[in-house]
Amino acid sequence: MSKTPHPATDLALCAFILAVAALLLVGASSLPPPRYDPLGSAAFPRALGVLLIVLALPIAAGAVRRLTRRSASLPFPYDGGALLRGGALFLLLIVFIAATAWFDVTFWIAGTIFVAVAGALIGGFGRKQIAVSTIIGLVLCAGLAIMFSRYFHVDLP
Amino acid sequence: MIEFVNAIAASFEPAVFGCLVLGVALGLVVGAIPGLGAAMLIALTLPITFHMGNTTSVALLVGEYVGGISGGLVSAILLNMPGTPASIVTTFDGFQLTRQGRAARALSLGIVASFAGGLISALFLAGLSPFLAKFALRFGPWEYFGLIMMAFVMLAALAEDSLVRGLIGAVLGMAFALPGIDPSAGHQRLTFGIDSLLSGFNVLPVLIGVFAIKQVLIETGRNQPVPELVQNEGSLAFGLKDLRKFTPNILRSSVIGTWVGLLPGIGASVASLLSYGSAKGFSKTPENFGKGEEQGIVASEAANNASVGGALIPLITMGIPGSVVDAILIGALMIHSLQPGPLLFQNSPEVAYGFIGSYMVANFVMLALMWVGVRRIARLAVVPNWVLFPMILVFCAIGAFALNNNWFDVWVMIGFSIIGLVLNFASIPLGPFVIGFVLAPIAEEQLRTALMYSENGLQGVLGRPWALSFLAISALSIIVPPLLRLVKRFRRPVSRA
Repeated sequence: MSKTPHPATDLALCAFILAVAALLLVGASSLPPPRYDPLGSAAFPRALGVLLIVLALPIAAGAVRRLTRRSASLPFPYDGGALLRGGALFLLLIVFIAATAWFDVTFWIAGTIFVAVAGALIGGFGRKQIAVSTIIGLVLCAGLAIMFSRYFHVDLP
Repeated sequence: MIEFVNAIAASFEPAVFGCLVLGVALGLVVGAIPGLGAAMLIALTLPITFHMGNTTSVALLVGEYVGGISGGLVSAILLNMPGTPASIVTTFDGFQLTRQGRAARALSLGIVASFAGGLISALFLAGLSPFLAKFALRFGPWEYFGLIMMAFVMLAALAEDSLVRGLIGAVLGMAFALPGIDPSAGHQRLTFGIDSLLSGFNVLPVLIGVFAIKQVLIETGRNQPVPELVQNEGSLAFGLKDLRKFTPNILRSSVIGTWVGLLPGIGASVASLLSYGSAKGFSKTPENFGKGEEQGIVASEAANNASVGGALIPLITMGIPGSVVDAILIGALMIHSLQPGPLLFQNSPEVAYGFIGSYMVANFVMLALMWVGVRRIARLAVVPNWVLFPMILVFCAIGAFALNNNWFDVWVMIGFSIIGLVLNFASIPLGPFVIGFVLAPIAEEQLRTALMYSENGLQGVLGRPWALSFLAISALSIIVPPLLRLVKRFRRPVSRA
C-alpha cells in the first residue's frame, strides 16, 4: 500500500470522492436550520463534504502531474486475467443474491449452485473441482438453512 | 479485584468456555491462512452472536482475536508467508530455522512467546483498565470529541505512508455514517427518500463488504498457487533453560507490544518490528538476525500478541479503537446495545470484565490448542482457495441477511465491497475508514452536546485542558510531519554544499 497508485486510479478515486461530497452537500442543503442546538443536522455533512473536496485536490493535482510528466507511457497496473477472475466471481455473487432475493429461488439450491460454479471458476473447471465444490456447497447450504431457520429463527428463502 | 476473579471464573462456565475454545480455534485456522485474518473472521461471525448472550459473544470474539493474531506464526514459520501482517517479522528468522530443519524449535518458541506476550499484556489490561475507566468518567462531551478526533488523526497519520490518504479514509467513513434519522433533531438526513436508509447503514453489512468480500475478490484476482508445506519433524519443546534465556526478551517485547497497542493506528506489525529491532540492539550477535536467530522469533511473537491486550485497554475504558479489529469489536458491542467506554464498567461490568477474563483465558487456550494441534492447523492453512472462498461468500450473504431478515442489508454489503475495492486500489487505508464509520455518530453527538451546554460556543473547549490537549495532539499530528519533511528538504542542499 505504500506505493503511489496509478494516476488513473487516483483520478477515479477523486471522482468518487467528489460524488460523495456532492451527495453530502446536496443532502445538507435540504435540511432545516438548527432549532435546539447551535450546530444543527446540516453542519456535519457540510463540513465533511468540504473536507472531502479539499483532501481530493492534492490527490487530483498529483495524479494530473504524474500523467503529464510520463504521458501515456504508464502501463495499466492491473492484470487483465486477475480483473476478469475477480469480476466474474463478483458477478456470480450478485446473480446468487438476486436469484434468492428477487426470484425466490430456494437458498440451499441457489447456494449449492453458487458454491459449485464459484469453486470451478477459481480452481478451474476440472471434474474434481466441480464434484468437490458441489458436495461442499450442498452440505454447507443445507446445514446453514437448517441452522438459521430452526435455531436462529431467520427465514431464509 | 473481585470482579476480575469473577470474570475469570465466568470464563470457565461451559457455554462461555466452549465459545472461547471455538473462537480461538477458528482464529488460529483463519490466522494461519495467508490473506485472511481476524478482522474478516470477526465480521463473519458477528451475525451468529446476535443469538448469543453478551458474555458468550465477548468470549467468542475475543477468542477469535487472540487466535487470529497467534495463527499467523504457523504460516510465517512453515510457509514463509505471514498469515497476518502482524507475523511478517516472524518470517525473517522463523522460516530460516525451518530451512535448517528446525521448524519444531521455531514453532515452540513462537507459541510460547505468543502466550507470554498475551499473558503479560492481559496483566496490564487487568491492572490498568478499571483505573483508566474511573479516570475517563471525568470526561465530558468536549473530552470525548477531542479523544475521537485524536484517534482519527493518529490512525490516519500512522496507518499508512500518506496522511492525506489516511484522512480521506477517515472522512469517507464518517460520511457514510451520516444517513438516517438524526438522533439529535429527529428528522431524516441524507436518506434521499429511501425508507430502508432511515436507520442508516448497519455496521455489519458495511464491515462484511469492506473486509470479507473485498478480500476474497482481491485474493481471487491474485490466484496465487497453494504454498508448499514444509514437513516439520521433531516435537515441540520449551524447557527451563529456554525460559531463563528468553525471559528478558519476552518481558521487553511484551511491554513494547502493549504500549504500541495502546496507541491508535500503529498496530501489531509495528509492535513486532520495534521489538525485533530492540532485541537485535540488545543482542551480542546481531549479525545472526535474519539468519534463523531464535530471539528474533520470540521478540516478534511476544510483541504482536501483547499488542492485542494493549489495544483492548482504550477500547473498553474509553471506547476508542486502536485497530481495525477493535473497531469491529466496538461495532459488535453496539449491535448488542452496549456502549464501550467508562460506563461499560458501571452499566455492564460482566461485559467489561468479561473482556479481560476472556482475553486472559484465551491465551491459555491458544497455548494448549497450538501445542497440541499446530501441525493440523498448518495443514488447514494450505486448503486451496477454490474450496474456501465460495464458502466465505455464502457466509457473508447469509450473515448480512440474518441481521434484519431483509435483502437491503445484503445489497449494502455488495455496495460497500465495491467501495472497499476502490479504496484498496487507491491505497486508502481501511482502518481509518472503518473507525470513522463507527465513531462518527459518537463524535457528532458529543460535539453537539458540548456546544449545547457551552455558553461560549466553540470557546468552551478552552476551559477543558484534557480536551484541549487531545485536540492539540490531533493538530500537531497533521502539521508536524509535513513541516519535518519541509525542514529536511531545506537541509539537503546545505549539507551537499
